[in-house]
Amino acid sequence: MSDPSPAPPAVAFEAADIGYEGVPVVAGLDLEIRPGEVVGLLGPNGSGKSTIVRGLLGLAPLLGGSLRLFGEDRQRFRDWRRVGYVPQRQTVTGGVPSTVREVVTSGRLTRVRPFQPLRVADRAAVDHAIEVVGLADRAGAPIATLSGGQQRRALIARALASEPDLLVLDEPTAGVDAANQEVLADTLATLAAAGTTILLITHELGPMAPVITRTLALRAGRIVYDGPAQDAPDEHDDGWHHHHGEPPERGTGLGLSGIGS
Amino acid sequence: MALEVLRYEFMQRALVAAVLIGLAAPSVGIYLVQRRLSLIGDGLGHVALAGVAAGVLTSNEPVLTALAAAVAGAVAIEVIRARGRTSGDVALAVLFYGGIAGGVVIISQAPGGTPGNLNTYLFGAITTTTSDDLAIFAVLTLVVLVVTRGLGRYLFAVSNDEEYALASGLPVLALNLALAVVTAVTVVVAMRVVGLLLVSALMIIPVATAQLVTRSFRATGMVASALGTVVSVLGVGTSYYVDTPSGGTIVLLAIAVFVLVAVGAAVRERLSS
Repeated sequence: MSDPSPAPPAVAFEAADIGYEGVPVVAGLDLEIRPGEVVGLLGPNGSGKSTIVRGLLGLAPLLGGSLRLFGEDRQRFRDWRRVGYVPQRQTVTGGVPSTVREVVTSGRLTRVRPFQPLRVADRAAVDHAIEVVGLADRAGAPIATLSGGQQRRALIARALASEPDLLVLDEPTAGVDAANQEVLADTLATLAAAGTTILLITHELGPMAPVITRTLALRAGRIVYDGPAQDAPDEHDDGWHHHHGEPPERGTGLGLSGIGS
Repeated sequence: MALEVLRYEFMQRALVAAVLIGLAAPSVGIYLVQRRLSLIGDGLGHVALAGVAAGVLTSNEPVLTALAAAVAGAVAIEVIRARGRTSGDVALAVLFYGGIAGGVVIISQAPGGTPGNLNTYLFGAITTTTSDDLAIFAVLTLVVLVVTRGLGRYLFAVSNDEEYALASGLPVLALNLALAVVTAVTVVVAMRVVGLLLVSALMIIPVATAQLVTRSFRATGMVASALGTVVSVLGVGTSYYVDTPSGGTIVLLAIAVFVLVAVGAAVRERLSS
C-alpha cells in the first residue's frame, strides 16, 4: 500500500477459460476488480460463479487467457496472505474437537514461521479476527458446538486472520438465518470501510445489498451484467433458480450450455 | 513387584520402548483421526512387514529395512492420494495386501524361516527389543515429536481443510508427505512391543478416548499421548506377569480405558442434562 504508483487491480482476468479436466466451465472471462471495490457476483447454480472463484484461488486450472493478482501473474503469485478465502463448503469440523481459536489460527499460518511459537502480533490478529465476526465470547468453544451461521462467521474470521487485502466469499449466506446474515453484512461493511476489496458470490444480495458497490451477473459461464446493484436482473426473472444449500457447480457441467454458442 | 520387573534388562528395554511408542503413536494418530484416515497406519504396518522379511532374508537389521519399506509405502500413498483418482482406494488396497503377502512369502525363503517367525513383529513381544533398536527408536521418536509439534499448526490446517490450505498457499503436498513419513516412522517404532498389526490401534484409540473429554485439538493431543504412554507401560508390565503378547495386551488395555471413559462421559452427560 506504500507503493506511490497507482495500485494494480486486485484481480484481472483476461480472456480466461477456467474449467476442469480440460473442459472450460467459464470461457473468455474478462474481469477486473479494483482495490476497494465490493463486488457481488450473482448467478444461478451452474452459471460458473464458484468456478471463477476456484480459478482465482488456484483450485481450478486456467485453461487459457491470463489472470493477474495484484499485478502479478498467477503462476508467479506467492503472496497468498493477501487473499482471504471463505469456502462455501461446511468443512470446519474434522474428526477431532477443535476450538474456534484453533480453526481461526490456521488462517494465520501464511504469516507464521514453522517450528516457532506464535508471536504476540499473530495472537492479536487472530483475536481481532474473531472479534470482528462477533465470536469473541465463543473463541474457546469447540467449533462443532456452534450454529451453522456462527460456524460460517468463524470461517470468515479464519480468512481475516491473515489480514488480507482481498476477501473472497463463496455463498456466505447460504443456509444462514436472518440474524446471522445481518451480522455478516455488518462485518463486510466494517471491512469495506477499512479498504478491503471484497468479492462476494451469492444467489441474492439480501442484507448485503447496501455494502455492494458493483454487481456482476453470470449466466452459463458469461458475464451478462456489470454495473450498480440496483439495476441487476432480479433472480426471479427469466428462470433464475433459488435453491439454498445446493452443492457448488463444480464438475456438474451445468455451466457448459452457453459455451461456444 | 515393580522392582522385580525392572531387574531384567530386557524388561527395562521393553518399558523404554513402550514409553517411546506411547508418546509417538497418538501424536501422529490425532492428525489421522482428524482427516478420517484412521486405517492408514494399519496399511503401513502391512507394508513394513515386507521390509521386516527382507531384512531377515538378507541378514540386515529388520528395523531399518522395515523403516525403508514403510517410508517408501507412505510416499507412494501420498502420491496416489495427490493424484486424486477414484481408483486410489483400490491402489492403496493393492499396496497394503502386497506388503503383507510379500512379507509372508519373503520370510519363507529365509534360512529356517516360516511365517510363524513374523508373529513377534505382528503382535509385539517384550523380549525382542535390543539396545540397538532402542537407540533407533529414540531417534525416530524424536523425529516424530519434533515434526508433529513443530509443524503442528500446519498439519492441523491441512488435516482440517485441505482445500483451504491449498487456497492459502500452504505447501500441502510437502505437509502431507511429512505426515505420511512420520506415520511410517511411528509404525517402525511400534514394531517391537506393539506389533505391526496393532500399531494403528495405539495411534487411534488414545485419541478417540481423549476427545470424549476434551474441547480443543491441543488438549486432545496432550491427553492422548499421556494415555498412550500409560497403557503402553502398563501393557508391557502386564504382559510380563500374565505371559501374553505385549501388543495385544496394550491394545486391550487401551480399549478398556476407552470404554470406561465413554461410559463415564455418557453418565456425566445424562446427569448434567
